[in-house]
Amino acid sequence: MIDITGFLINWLEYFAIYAILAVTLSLESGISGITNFGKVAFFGLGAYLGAIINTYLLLAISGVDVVKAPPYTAEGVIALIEISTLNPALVLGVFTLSILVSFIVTGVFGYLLTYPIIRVGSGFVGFTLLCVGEVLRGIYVNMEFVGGTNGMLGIPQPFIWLGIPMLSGLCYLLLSVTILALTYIVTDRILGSPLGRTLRSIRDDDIAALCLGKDVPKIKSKIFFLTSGFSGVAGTLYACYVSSVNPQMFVTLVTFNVWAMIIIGGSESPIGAIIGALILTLIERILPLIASLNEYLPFTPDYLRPVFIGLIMTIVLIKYPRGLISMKPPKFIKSAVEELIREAS
Amino acid sequence: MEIYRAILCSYVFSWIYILSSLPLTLSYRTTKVFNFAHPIFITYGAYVVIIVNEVLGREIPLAVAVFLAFVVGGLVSLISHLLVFKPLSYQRVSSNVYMVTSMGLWFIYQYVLYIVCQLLTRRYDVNFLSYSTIEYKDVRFLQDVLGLNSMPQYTITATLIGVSVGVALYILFNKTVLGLSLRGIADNASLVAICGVPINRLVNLTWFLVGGITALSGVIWVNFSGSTTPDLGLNIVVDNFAAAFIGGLYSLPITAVASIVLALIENMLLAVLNYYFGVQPTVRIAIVFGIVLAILVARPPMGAGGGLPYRFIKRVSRK
Repeated sequence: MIDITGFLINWLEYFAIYAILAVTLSLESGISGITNFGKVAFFGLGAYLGAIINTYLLLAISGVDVVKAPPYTAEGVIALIEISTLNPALVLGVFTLSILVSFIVTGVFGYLLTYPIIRVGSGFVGFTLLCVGEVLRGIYVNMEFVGGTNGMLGIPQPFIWLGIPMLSGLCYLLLSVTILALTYIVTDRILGSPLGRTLRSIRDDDIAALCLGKDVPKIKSKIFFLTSGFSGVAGTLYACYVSSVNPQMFVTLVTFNVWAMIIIGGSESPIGAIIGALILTLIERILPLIASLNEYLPFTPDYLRPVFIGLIMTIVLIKYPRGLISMKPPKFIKSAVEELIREAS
Repeated sequence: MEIYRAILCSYVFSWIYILSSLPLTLSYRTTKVFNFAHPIFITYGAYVVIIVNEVLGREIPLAVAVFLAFVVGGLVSLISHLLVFKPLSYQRVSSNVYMVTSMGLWFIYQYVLYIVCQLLTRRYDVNFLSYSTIEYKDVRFLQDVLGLNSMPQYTITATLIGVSVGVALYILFNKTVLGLSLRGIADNASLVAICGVPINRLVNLTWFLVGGITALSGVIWVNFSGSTTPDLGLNIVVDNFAAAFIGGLYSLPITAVASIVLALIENMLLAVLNYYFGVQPTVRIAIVFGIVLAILVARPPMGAGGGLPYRFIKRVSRK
């Protein structure tokens, strides 16, 4: 018997987190022309930062000796569960802090990365950022205080003190959707502003934008700070939702999934990115249900998912290179075109 | 002993990187497609050898391995071009779309291989998901004849394949009309078309050569490594792209030199770090990334796919 409410909460939670990534990737790649193949780097960094703050800091404030009982050990996990169920104000406070720190640190990390990468073309930007994701994963594997290969467990969900799993899940979902809405509003405001028009001009021809006096590197850096920051927040939300982090969660396949979302939805439109996230997270949540096919199939059904998503993505790109939902022209362009037609007639 | 091992590794990795990064540069020059699925040709080259070796009863000669890997790698590359990249070129899409599509292809090929490996593992009761080293019987014969039994077989295999491909490419590009036409397409495709050169056929040939040559890295790899997995391409992707990147995706000689320097630095540094500080081999990627970042900051490579304007500004402002 499938628990429909549980399934919906789980799906929508994944949707909200991935939609944040998709909307920011749409702003970076579809609108600003920054080819980010290292989305998982910022997502993973945010997740690890969230995990560290929500475990180490929580334990330290509560007076637990983190050297004797680090959060990746059984003692640490037990202490974390006790603290998070008994002290709501502290858990919520530390969680809020982790969100802020994630935003700032991943944002600054993204900003600093733009210094070397804005000097080269899109292929190199994509490659360099892809490397960043793999390098960070290598670092997580070698860092013992975050659990190395095994990662960390017992990261408290900030509403766990409510006692009812369904209710705490719902509250967390509301929080994630609120952050998604904030991401969307910020992106939409940028798109409608003069900065949005500048970004589109940079995407279409950065040399022309440069010749027109636009400070292309600076504008790209600012956008990358913002989008990296939001990706970090998505990472923290993810870490606290699944209550664990490990290096295997942050492989290149995650970046590929987010790209698939914006391609299916339409890379130039934040709404398209959200729709893409909605469709693909639904497929991802449904696919585990066919894991029961394992006894009928001669191979692991999990391998079908990337093949399936890759095929959809390739076919969509060949047929509709701008995605299924292309961005409508802004109102001012529409009215200008209408005026031109009127004058001509 | 550690230094001797590091030198041997540097030597073999140099050839692996050269054989995989030269075709990447070649494909970008000719087609302007930055193909993220490129390292999958290495994996397919390696797995063709593994599968045939298992079917033949573990006695595959190098000549057969090279032929099969070249043909299969070339065909995979050509099919990718005909079914995906060519239709995209008709749509006049941006380079980003090419890159994302190639990423999609990468995952399709990789996970199809996972499925095939799992099916073969059940069929032959051998672990295809992590396959051990393959010895080539004709190379063993050559070692016996020449008295080179003290040398690891992979050094001879790498030398044979690397030198042969190098000489063949040199002759192709410098001594034949076909090579001249290929270079012409890389420089100005429209002009070459006006001269009556069949561009489509030559682009197809380029894709076939690119896939075939890259797959030969896989032939060396299965002779060298104790464990070949379907993630092989993913593990080499950074080094492979880094070498091509240092060559600016334009210069073949600089790409070859970059491959050798990268292999030397990462293997020697890794050996030193491992010996003195017990650092794990997983930092290999961080070393390569450090080199790439240093180059990006100090001097972005020429022709780096659009990097010119910022360097131009810098030069103007200095004056």
